[in-house]
Amino acid sequence: MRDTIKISGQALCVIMVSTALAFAVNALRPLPLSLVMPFPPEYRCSTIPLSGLPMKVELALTMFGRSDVVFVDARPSRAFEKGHIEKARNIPYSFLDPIGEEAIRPLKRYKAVIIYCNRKDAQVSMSMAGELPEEGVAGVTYLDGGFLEWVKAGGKYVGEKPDQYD
Amino acid sequence: MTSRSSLLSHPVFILCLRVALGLVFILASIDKIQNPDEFAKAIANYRLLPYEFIHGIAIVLPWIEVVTGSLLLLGIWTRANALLTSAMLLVFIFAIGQALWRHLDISCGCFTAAPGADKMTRWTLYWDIIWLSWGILLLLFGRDVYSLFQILTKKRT
Repeated sequence: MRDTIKISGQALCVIMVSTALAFAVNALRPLPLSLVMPFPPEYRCSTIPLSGLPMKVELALTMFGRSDVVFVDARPSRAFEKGHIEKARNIPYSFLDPIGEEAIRPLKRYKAVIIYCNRKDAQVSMSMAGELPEEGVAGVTYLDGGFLEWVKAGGKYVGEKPDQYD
Repeated sequence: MTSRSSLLSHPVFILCLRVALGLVFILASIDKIQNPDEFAKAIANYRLLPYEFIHGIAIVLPWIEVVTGSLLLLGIWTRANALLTSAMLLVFIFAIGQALWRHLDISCGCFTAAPGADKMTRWTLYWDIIWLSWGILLLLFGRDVYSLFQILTKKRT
């Protein structure tokens, strides 16, 4: 028992000294690393482009209804069920999880894939639009302004319309 | 059984394990200490942790590796450092195992911080399991024999 306490104490001491050293050295660096990581996408896999290309709502409205165009809702299922662009597919996107092959395969049939979310900065749809071409999906863009701008511009939707950005 | 156990706890065998494991951890930490931003990307690619914690880990983990590795090499607090290396290796095994299971095509960030370096394979996992077995043996049988303290004390007497 005494041995266990002694070993644990020594281990704790090593951790504390290492942590102190680590933060001290980091603070002395010419460009210290921030303690909290900024939001992706700049820290995504290096093989993935930083972001996808934007598409203006006006242009997206002209493409709506075409058989070779699909709208993808990148928000969580609950938000999608509440209201979404008409005929849109829901593929919830998270930075932590790779997009499943079963979700990607059907998108390869389309010439244009327009991804949207409902964030003002479009971070979610922009990241997803950057990742999908790496998986072999062609013509991927993200909707500039997201779901809110789509509704404001008179685009068709199902369920509730959003009052503001998420 | 007794002879096997005495071989595993033989001071020379334990010394070899201690030095080898210490060197592994020191070598693994050098590039990560020099390039913490690259190491942060390698951690992020595992898609396992909330991004808020990634920089903190990228800053601290290589230093824990280098300090434990150096202390193992010098034979100071051998069992405590064996405990730490074993705990770290358990975490690495879990992280690598889940990445392989999820078919993530990423670099392990073990010896090189760059996320585009050598891709992770099953051998990455096997090596960590081998090193974990060394750590466990050191935890069970490790004594500060042939340590810096012992060498200095002998010289004085």
